[in-house]
Amino acid sequence: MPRATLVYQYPKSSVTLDQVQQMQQSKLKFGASSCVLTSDDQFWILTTVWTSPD
Amino acid sequence: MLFKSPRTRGAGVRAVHARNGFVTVAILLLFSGCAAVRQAPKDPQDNDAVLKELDPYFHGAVVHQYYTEPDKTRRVAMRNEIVTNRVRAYDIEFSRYKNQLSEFGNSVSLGGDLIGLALGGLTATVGNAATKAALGAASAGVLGATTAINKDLFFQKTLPALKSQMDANRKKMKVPILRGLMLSDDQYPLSAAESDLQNYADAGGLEDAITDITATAKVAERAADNEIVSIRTADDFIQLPDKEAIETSVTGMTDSQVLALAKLMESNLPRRPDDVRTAVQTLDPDARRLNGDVARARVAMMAWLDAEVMNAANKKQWADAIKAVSN
Repeated sequence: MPRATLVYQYPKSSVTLDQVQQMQQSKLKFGASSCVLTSDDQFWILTTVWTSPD
Repeated sequence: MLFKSPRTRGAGVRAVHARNGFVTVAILLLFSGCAAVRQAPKDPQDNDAVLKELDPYFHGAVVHQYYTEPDKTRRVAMRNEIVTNRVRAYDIEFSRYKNQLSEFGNSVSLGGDLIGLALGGLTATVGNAATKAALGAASAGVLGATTAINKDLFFQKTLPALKSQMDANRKKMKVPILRGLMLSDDQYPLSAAESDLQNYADAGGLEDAITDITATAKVAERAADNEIVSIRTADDFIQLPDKEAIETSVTGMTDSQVLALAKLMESNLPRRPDDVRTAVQTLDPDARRLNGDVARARVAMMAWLDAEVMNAANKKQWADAIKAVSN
């Protein structure tokens, strides 16, 4: 089953937690199979998985 | 000489000479066709000149200026300029390296195979037994040599996988650089970038690619589960309302409208960034979205939108396409 994983890293210096959470909710609302928010010391990391239905 | 002149007379001699002439010309044409077929369009850019222009970013005054610049904001700008230009130089060299690999592998296997097949074909069609034998031997010799070379170098079947692995390794090593460019000079000084740049330069090597492929031996599986890492900016949040408006429109489309949208947007895909193209091609590797597969079309369009930088130009393309399929 084809699956694409998009790992987007947002600098904490310019993007807030609330903004990243809104983007996370949007991805889930519009069909992503999953979207997990993690972080390291400098970046928010959104890992979104898209899966083909076949 | 590959074949003997036949010992016949009169009209028969002329016929045989004509046939032998054809064979000779055919062989000459085939060997003259040994030049590699280009694997990529010729680059109109003079890469030697560009590399010369980029040379100062590897040493000398530009680097010295960075280390002696007291202003932190200017240091960040100088660091980013040095790093991005070095990345560009590495990219040019890597592109050359990949083309050399392709052209070498191509000239060996394609040229050899064609000669071998053509000689084999001629062996079956020319009438003279001695000529047949000579051509048959030549054909076997060409194919034998090619097979040996291909076995040694893994070029015939594994080169595309190796190139994919080299690309993947480079992308992986580019992430820390792109992350670093978003940081202050204190957090990511040029000395730290140089270490990452060296890793990036080394990541395009054939040996690493072979090691990685051998270690995992799961190329097909990786292709079906492609991880795309990107450094994004606050623009994604600023553009979120525009993106959601388009996503809402696409979600509400009928099956036929989604299929039409996928076809309309297809011409824009080659000009999209790597992450968009990879996402779409990973989710729909055989482009079924363009041949009536609604489920593939929907997921490909939504993943594309997710990865999209919704700038004014891209927003207009989507709006125009949506308008066209909605009428």
